[in-house]
Amino acid sequence: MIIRTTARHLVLTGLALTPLWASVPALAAGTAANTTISNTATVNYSVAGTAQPQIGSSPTGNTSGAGTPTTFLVDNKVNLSLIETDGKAASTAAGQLASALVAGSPVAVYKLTNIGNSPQGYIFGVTQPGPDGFFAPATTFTLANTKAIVSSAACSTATTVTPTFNNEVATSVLTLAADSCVYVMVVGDTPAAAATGAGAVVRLTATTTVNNTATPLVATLVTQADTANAVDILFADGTVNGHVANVARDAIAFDDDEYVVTASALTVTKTSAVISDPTSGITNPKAIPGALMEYTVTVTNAAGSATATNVVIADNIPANTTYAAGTITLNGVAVADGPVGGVGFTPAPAPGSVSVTVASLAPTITTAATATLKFRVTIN
Amino acid sequence: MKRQTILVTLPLLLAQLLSTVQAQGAVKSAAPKGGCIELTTVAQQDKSVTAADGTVTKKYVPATRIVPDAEVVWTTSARNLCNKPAENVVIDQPVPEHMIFVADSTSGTDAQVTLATNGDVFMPAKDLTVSVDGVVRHAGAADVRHVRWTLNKAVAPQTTVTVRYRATVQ
Repeated sequence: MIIRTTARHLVLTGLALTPLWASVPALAAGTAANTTISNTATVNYSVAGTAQPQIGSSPTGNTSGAGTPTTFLVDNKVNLSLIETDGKAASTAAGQLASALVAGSPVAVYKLTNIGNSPQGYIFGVTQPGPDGFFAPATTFTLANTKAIVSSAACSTATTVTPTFNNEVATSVLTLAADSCVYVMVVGDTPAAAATGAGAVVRLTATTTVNNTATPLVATLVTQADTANAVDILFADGTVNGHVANVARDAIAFDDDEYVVTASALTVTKTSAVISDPTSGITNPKAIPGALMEYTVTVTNAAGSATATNVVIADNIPANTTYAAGTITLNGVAVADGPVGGVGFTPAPAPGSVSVTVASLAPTITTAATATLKFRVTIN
Repeated sequence: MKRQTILVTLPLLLAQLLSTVQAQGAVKSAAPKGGCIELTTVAQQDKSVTAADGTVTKKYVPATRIVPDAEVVWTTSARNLCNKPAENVVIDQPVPEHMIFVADSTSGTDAQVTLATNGDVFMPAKDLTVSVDGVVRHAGAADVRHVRWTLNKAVAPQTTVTVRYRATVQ
């Protein structure tokens, strides 16, 4: 029965192999605002046994011809989702200033998604509500100069990651397309006196703005009367958002994250090796005058400890040796001889010193982070 | 004189026949003089009204604040303007683009409701099928693109028949 029906369907339509509705994209946020939806009914009938011409409908009544479509405009549904990305605190160090963050620094990150049906802008605010039940540090500290910064990391609505700081500066989102997301970071200055293990709960608030502006959508829109054939605004955000309860239908969402002061655990090792001597060359070289020596300085930040940033590795050239020009490498990458801001080789005071800066030593829970400095000297 | 009248009437009859044939298609080019039925389509929404004694009644109001997931009631009224009954009345209505038919949402007194996925083959909801990539399955609500009401009774002169279905905005 079913198969016969379909066969007839194909014969009659001839070309309807691809269903019309298959081409309609499935949008999570729904039909875009300002889309016209149009509908016309038709009637066929007979009078006294004689078929009459078909009549199409109109919004006010039509008695002949094709009629006029009944239309409405899809209104602007405003809805947003703001959720802290990883459910755990971000690490900071006592005395860490937001202005001194380097690329790769861990930060509190939120994912902001426009789940309405129109592009919207967003502005942000940061507060520190204290322990909220989800983030509940036993001892607390207060961040200074908190601000929200928009991440430049690519955002996908399908998967959530926790990007690190990458020297971004933008503090608001001018336009975010429907069904799109962006990561937003909260940064602040950790006081030098902050105790290891202390936590600061930060709350990021995102307020929906008129697209391409920083002007918030006014709350009275909720009760505003509908205007026929115009795009009206409907706030549709709910009370469930991230870890904390929100106010429904205000086009504002917030969620909490936490910074915890963790200590870095750096260890330094230094080894030396003879590369060559003037007599034996590179075969079993001995540390005699004129021999080329290589020093290896390894700095390790232990697994599970806080990310160390701006790690300066410096070493003095030993007495009775001379730095071999152009031999500094950091993690196998050549570093130009300085002096440029103290980086590289500094000749004075003789016999000089070697210094490099590691932007970030970020261990994971299971793996230590390591930086290796190598340079060569000749024995006088 | 009589000959002349016949000559004029024959082409008219032909034109009328032609227009009846055309009426089966989607596009109707010729606009004849007013017919017997006035057809009105409006987009509505349900509104619950609570009376002073606490009883809640539902009424249809013009659709407002139509955003994705909103449900719209498409209401079509056919009024018979003539002095003779309108027979074999069949009202067709497409489900507009960007909207999804709501299952079992049709209403209309004394009418047989059939549905179609493409506008050609109408059948009761339980028999409606759709073929996707060679696999034939029962059509779901989202597959329905046309609704047809075939009235069992003639529409009496100066009376109105109203039919409805619901659809949500995608």
